[in-house]
Amino acid sequence: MYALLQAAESLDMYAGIQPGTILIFGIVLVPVYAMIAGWFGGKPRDAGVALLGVGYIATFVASLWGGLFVLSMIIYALFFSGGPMSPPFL
Amino acid sequence: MSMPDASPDDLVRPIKKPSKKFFLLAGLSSVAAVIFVIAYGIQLANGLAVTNLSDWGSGGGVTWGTYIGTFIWWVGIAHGGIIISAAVRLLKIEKYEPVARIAELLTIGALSMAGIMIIVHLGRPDRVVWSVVMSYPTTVHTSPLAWDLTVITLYFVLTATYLSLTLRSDIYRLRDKLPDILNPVYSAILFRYDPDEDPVVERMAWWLALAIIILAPLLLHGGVIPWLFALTSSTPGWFGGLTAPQFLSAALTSAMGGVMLVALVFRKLYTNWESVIPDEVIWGLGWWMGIFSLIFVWLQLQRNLVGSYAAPTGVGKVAAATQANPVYWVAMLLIILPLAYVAFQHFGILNFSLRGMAVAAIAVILGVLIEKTLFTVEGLLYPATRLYGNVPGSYVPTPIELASILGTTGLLILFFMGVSKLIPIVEMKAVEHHESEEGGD
Repeated sequence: MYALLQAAESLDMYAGIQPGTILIFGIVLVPVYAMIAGWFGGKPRDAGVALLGVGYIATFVASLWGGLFVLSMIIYALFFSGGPMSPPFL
Repeated sequence: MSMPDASPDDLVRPIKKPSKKFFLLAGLSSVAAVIFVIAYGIQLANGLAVTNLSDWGSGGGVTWGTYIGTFIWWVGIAHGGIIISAAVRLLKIEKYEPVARIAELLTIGALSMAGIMIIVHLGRPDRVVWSVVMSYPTTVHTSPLAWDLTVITLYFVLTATYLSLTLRSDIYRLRDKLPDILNPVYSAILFRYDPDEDPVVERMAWWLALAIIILAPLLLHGGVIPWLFALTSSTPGWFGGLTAPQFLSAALTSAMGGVMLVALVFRKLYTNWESVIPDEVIWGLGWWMGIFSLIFVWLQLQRNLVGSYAAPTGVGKVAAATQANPVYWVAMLLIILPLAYVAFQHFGILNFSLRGMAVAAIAVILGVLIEKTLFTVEGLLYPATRLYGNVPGSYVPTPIELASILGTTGLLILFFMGVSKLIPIVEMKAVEHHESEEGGD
């Protein structure tokens, strides 16, 4: 594993496989890949319900980051758009 | 401790009857949340200068303090919480079924609070989404911060999916006992529900539990989260292979305390909930809290011993500073005393007491919060580099920062109170299993 990470580290920063790419997509997410495979390939199975599960995952990712984006825009409007509540250094 | 007989009516009681205690708790929690919002508003209007978090190198002191310590604390409670639920499903530990959904909800609530702590710590929170998303393809290569955001998102999403899938059957079966006014919510939860899907969903939940139980201890709070610190060689207090086990043991200790505390509050608030969450469950959670706190204390011993005996300069310096700090010993006592209390109960020297368990749970939760904040601060106060040697500083949390702990705690309580008015926070099968259930840790 060390040799693999060393080899990856020598690659260009913006292209190729870096240590974090291996860590996140090659190690951390493996249980999630197995889970999705189990949903669609395991028994008992129902593609419709498995798709519902995938839909939940997609919806929660979108609502988490979408909700955070809305919150951040409210903070921008209130505090960083040059209004009376903006920080003194702006 | 006799086996109780709880019914589905008990499960829906929190949804139907808000008591005076409920309103009192909601009021106090709202005040805490408002204090936090005001404090954060002051910080946004004046900048992070209102905290004691300085520019490292010019202002002395530290750049990470209470906010990050509290973040680790919330993430720890969250990660440990879902482990209970996943273990119940995967290892078929029916005894803990009554607290499985509480653990799932604690994970979702505590992770949200952890996210708030990160946002609060940003100088320009309005830029967070754009900068994270746009830079992700490059930052994921080498940045533990990018990994951290990935796994927190992953963890939140997996837990929410797990809860959503397993909730469908319960809502369907309890529908006639649930308030009509919330029908739109229940219709959304039951989107395309068919009772025949139950065995499939049960299997999907099993796969989810498998993924979670591998991810949580090995890769998340025993991996990516502590790597935020453990990979930084310029901070001897953080660096090293022991950091991850320390984080995991602290997380599991505080999570057991957290789940137990929430369970005790619901038992106190609602009639006959001592049947829904029997004494055996509290006893067992206390036992596990003791086991994990023992591991935590043992790892602290390792850290102190290695740091005190012929350690490299940087390691020795931070170990000496930690040991000289009375706050550290307060944190250790807050964990060691409950450990002793649980052990004495287990060995029959002390009688089992719900009040005592509640105090023990609060103590370990506070102890972990203090220890994790101190860990964060001392890593930065005693770096290996001498670049900032001429601008030494200290760190004391400001009221602005402390308000975030108060506020997120209040928000978590409000979250639980709100959710308990929408859905049953104990699974139906926990009640169904009561008759055949037997004890055992």
